[in-house]
Amino acid sequence: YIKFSFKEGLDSNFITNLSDTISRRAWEITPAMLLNHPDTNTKNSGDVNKPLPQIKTRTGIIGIERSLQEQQKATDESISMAFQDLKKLMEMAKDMVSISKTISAKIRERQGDITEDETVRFKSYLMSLGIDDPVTRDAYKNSNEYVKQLARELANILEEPIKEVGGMMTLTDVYCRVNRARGLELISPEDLLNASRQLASLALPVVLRIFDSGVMVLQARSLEDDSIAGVIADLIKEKGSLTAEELAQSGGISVLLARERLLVTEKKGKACRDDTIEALRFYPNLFLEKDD
Amino acid sequence: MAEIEWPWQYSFPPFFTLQPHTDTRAKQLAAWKSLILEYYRVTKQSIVDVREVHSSPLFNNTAINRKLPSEVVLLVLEELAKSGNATPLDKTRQRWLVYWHTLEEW
Repeated sequence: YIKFSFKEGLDSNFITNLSDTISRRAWEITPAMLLNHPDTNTKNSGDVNKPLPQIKTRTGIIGIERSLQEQQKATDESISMAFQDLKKLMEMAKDMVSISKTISAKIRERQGDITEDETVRFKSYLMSLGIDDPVTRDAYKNSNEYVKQLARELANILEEPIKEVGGMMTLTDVYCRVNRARGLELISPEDLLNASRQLASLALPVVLRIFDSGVMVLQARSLEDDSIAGVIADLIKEKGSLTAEELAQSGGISVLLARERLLVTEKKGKACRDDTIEALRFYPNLFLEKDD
Repeated sequence: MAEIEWPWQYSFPPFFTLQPHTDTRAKQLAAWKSLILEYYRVTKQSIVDVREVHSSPLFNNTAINRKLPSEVVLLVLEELAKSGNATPLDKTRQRWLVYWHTLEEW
């Protein structure tokens, strides 16, 4: 027989729990339950002279160590399982790569019938595998169907926002906007770039533009360099001279774009520069205007 | 030393930065050429030392705190040499002789 004593009075739950456990002979079925029950009970009732013998496995440092060991073993197993699976997966992918290479070799033999359905399908296979092989692919088709659809989507989403910011948005800004709006199924920078490259050939209202400096922007198709240059030139005249930062502040555009705009204006011969340690300032191009 | 009447470009800061735009640069260099000739004629000098250009008010406008960089001075001098208004005095091209009039005109 076992005798119980309670410091802070008898918790009625304890009795029901205990009899429940005993009646179900839980220790024979799942040791986990046994481990749990005494735990909760000791909390309620303070000093209990160990209700069940099976508890032994938990007691003392050895018990704790043992359970830690078991946990470690379990994680070890699951980790090695995961790696095994990964290995198999990679082997499969390897096969796919070699197959796709032989296919692309075959296509090469049959040279340049462009936009065939076969090559389109092949391209989408490659995309789903994550093998990018544009050097050999480009000769057969200028880009993937997926990229074209993405380009259409981009044009749809971005037409309004681009107009709002003055007809031009850097590709990095676009990337942020699109991916933040998506939340899931994000697009990779490369996808975005490829899609942007397609914009021009699809006659969409937004086009990709690469400045001499290498900065890439999407701009509204309606936006003309000449009109930008005109506006900026007027602005410079009004203020006497401008730096990119000043233009960015007054125009509410990013410094990067302000700079590009000033450079465009300069390129059109409507501004000239004053490069000092203080800043790169742009002045109205008096060299050309005074003589006229 | 006789006073020279400075052209409007002299107080225009961009005049002291080499312009990347082709047409603009042509105008700029032409203005510099005529300014140099004028300056040397009025002050009756004939030797330009590229190492010392910044001591001369011609290439260093203290009023607007701008200097013409030495490379650009050299460029202008080479332009002058093309039209026969200047010749280098040594191989390192640091000292130049400036002719108020080209040798043919004399």
